[in-house]
Amino acid sequence: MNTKRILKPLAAMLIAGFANATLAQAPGMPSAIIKIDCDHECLIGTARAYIKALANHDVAQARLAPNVQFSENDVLMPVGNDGLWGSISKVRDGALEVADPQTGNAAWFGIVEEHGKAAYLAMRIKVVNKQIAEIETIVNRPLDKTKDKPKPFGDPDKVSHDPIWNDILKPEERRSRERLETVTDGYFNTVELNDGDVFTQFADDCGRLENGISTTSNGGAASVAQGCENQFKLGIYKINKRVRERRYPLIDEERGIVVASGFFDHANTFDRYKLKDGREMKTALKWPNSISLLEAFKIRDGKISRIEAVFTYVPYFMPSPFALPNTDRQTR
Amino acid sequence: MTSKQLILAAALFAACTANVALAQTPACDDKCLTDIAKAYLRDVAKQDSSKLPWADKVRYTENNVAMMIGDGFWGAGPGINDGGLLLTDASTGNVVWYGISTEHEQPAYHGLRLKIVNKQISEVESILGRKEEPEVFAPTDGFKVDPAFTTKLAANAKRSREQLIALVDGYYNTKVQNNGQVLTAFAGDCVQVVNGVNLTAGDAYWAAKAVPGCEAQMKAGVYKPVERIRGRRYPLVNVDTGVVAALSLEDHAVRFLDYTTLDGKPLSVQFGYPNTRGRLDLFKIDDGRIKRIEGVSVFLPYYIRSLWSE
Repeated sequence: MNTKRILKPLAAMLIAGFANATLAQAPGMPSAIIKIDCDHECLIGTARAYIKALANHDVAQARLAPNVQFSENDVLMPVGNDGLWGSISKVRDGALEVADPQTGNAAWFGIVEEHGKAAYLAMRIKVVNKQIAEIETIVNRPLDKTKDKPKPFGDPDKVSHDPIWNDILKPEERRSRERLETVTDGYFNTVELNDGDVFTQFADDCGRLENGISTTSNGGAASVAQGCENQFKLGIYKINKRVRERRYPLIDEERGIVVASGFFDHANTFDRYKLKDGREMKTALKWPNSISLLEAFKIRDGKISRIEAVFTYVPYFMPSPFALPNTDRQTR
Repeated sequence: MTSKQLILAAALFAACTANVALAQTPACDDKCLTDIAKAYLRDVAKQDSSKLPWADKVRYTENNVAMMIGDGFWGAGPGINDGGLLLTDASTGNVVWYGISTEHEQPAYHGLRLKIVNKQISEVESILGRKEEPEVFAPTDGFKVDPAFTTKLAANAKRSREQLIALVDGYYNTKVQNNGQVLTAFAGDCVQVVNGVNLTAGDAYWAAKAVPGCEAQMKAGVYKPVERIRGRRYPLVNVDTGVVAALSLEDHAVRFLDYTTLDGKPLSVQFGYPNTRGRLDLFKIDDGRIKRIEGVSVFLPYYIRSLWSE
């Protein structure tokens, strides 16, 4: 018997077997067991440290991973000197903070100032090994005094976050991570091509704050119809050709919060449309544009109760550096 | 001859034949480029892309975002107004159209570049300057293309392709962190127009009010807030008319709001937050001096990467 000829392939098989065993967890996951190395308090603390570093123009305080990715309004750039880092003059108190230890993500919705002028900032960070590996920010600046695109921009001196965001839900009011995500995804399905069909559920008192303005009770679309569900049943948001590159990186089951990101594509293939009650609407702009957003949803008892978003205009169809392209949807 | 040698010989023959075939591919001359561009402008207004000569792989961008043909401008009730300027460069296969397009009848300044390879459209790049953007925008009613962009130069006023590009590149180098040092050459009557607004004369633009004249503005350091000008490309040059079509991304980091010209005049930045301007500019260069700059500009997210050169 030629032992060499038998042992060689056997060794190769053994090595291959071990290799397969180490790759046997879910695709894309580094390990089959999720190790939480930064809990809720740690994530919120890391987000606060980053914001403090930003306010102080001192990137060294920010607990960054060596290969950190930083984006501002969907553009990747070096962190620490450019974009908001180069223009910030102050961070205001009173942010909405959310964390998800399972995914290692934290979010911060608040107000900053650039050379003394207030702007809305929404931020998502991803923490790995207690260091920030991803920073995704949306900055919505005030309307230019002479001309600009129509967008909500609430008085920063009057904005506050509803305290119910921090409510810990009773066990019977909570839903699973998967259900919270599908309720939110249903919201985006409802927004997309909004024709009156509602693919999610809203609480009766549902309210939405967009860039500091309540657009369901006294601003923006609220002048046409009030209330989250009423607006969608009327088809106000028909102009959204796609809600694209949806991601749900942060879910807090205990508080019933989902933080989502995505784009609303306003293709403006039409510039007039009819609501379900027959009223004619004109699109605010006649040309293709997209809005990029970070949006938080409070879901109690399976129903959307509060929505808070920071969004800004970006060139039509602009992609996110953090999302994978969906080629099937892009051909539509 | 061994079989190895035979294979090698066959491969060499095939390679030579391919090269001959490539060399014999009929080029697209100025008329061919013009005809394809006119067909494009006609068909986009009809929202019918089916009859255009597309290459197998086509890249389409609008305001520096890649998308599918049929989306964006193609889908938004498009129209093309008469009176635009069509320029060609048969040596690079590029065509540039600069004019007024409409979306649901609302006009916009539009710079369009097509790249033609083997008489087929392989690249489409549009820069659209719309009314509701923060960038300058003049009413389009009086839009008229300056005849200078089509006027042929006297033989002694012409410059080589390389010199023309160097002058435009020098313009950008002068503007970056503008400190008074001029790294190009301007004609005394140089004028710059962006989205229909005169930036160097009159009272429609802050810089023209502060310091009139192309060179005077640069010597005064009016454009100090320009952090960098990236993604510079010069796809079209016409030596006979002295015209260069240039594309670029101009970053305004806005690390400061207030500054002074070199002679002490106080100025402020126009927008208090970081922003980038996507530009398509036409330069007319006469006798080695920049005489006219005209083009389209759009506000883009700060630091956006060029999809064409970075």
